[in-house]
Amino acid sequence: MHSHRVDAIAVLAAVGCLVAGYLSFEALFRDGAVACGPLGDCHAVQSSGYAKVAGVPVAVLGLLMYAALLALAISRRLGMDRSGLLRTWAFALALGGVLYSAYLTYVELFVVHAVCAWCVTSAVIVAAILITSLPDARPTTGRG
Amino acid sequence: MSTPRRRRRSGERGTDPQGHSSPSRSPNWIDRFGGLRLVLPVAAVLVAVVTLIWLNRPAGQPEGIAFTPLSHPDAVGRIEGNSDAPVRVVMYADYQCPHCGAFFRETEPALRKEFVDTGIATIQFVNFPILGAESVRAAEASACADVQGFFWQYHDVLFQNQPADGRENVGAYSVDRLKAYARTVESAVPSTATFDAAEFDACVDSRATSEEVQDQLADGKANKVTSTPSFLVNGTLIAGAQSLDTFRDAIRRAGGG
Repeated sequence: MHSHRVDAIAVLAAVGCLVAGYLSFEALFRDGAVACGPLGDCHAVQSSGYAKVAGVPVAVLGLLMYAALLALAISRRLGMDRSGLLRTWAFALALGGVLYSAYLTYVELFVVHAVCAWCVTSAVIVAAILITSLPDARPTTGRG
Repeated sequence: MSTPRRRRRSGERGTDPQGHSSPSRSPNWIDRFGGLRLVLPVAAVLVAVVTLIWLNRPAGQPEGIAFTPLSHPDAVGRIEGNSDAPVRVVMYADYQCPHCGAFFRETEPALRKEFVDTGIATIQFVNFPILGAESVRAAEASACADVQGFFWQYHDVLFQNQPADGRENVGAYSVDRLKAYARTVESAVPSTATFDAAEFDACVDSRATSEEVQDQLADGKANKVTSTPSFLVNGTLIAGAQSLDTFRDAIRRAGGG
């Protein structure tokens, strides 16, 4: 049961890496020319003043977070979490991702007035990771 | 042993299906949240999130920018109004010029309502920056806004933030503020959602519209404009922020009603 949860987190983090990786590639090499589909205005979001933090595209931060979550999940599956630290860091990271995604979604809706479907997808993925990680926040959870 | 009151309180904390009170510990708050092993990572991540949000504020967003969005339904570039209108009012202005600011606040709205909204006249704004470096940079930034399709909203925010004491070149149109004005417009006007902040910043920084502004200045000089604001009403020069009646007469003489 526990290993299934870690597997699910790994899969979600891998999908998150793909989404954030695509957005990072567009932000870094193609000036935010994101293929957005019929939903939203990704270009407006990607090119707004909020799309970078100290010059670093937000998408790259997302990619780093998903990569860290994926690495933590793989490490846990390999039995490297005897101290239980990896699961708590994974939970904390997912919590941070959800909070920052909530902030970015607020900015999209009420400041930039445009929604990026890819960003919403990422927000859903990290929320799913947090929900899946919730048992890891309990001190009694088994270690993996 | 336990009083009914105590029993009731224990029951609130947790009872088994038979109603017996369960033994209750009173862990400190760190234990309650899973011990230091959980609290420290969560605290570290929360600090990181707050820092990221703090850093994510748009660059150079100074305090105290006022902006009241105005309606510009028939604007195309620097020209506003029905292209078939019989009268063309060309306005030469400098964003730092106090008389231009006064005209913007006191006469332009009435002129727009009486002659532009009714299809009698068009208004064309021409940059005529003659009051120093910030005038030139503001004019160039307004041309950058024009490139992105929100010239008139940017024109509005520039005039709405003219220093009340009429001082010039004191930072009201610094490069940082010029960028912040664009973001203010973007935040307030949904139709400017396609605003590309990076492109605007690059346009302002590289002074990509410098030549265009100098061409507008030369256009004014060629039309014998020497001060701001000045106007050409179908070619007839009006110098100064004149009253609405002066413009009414000029527009009527030019064939507008």
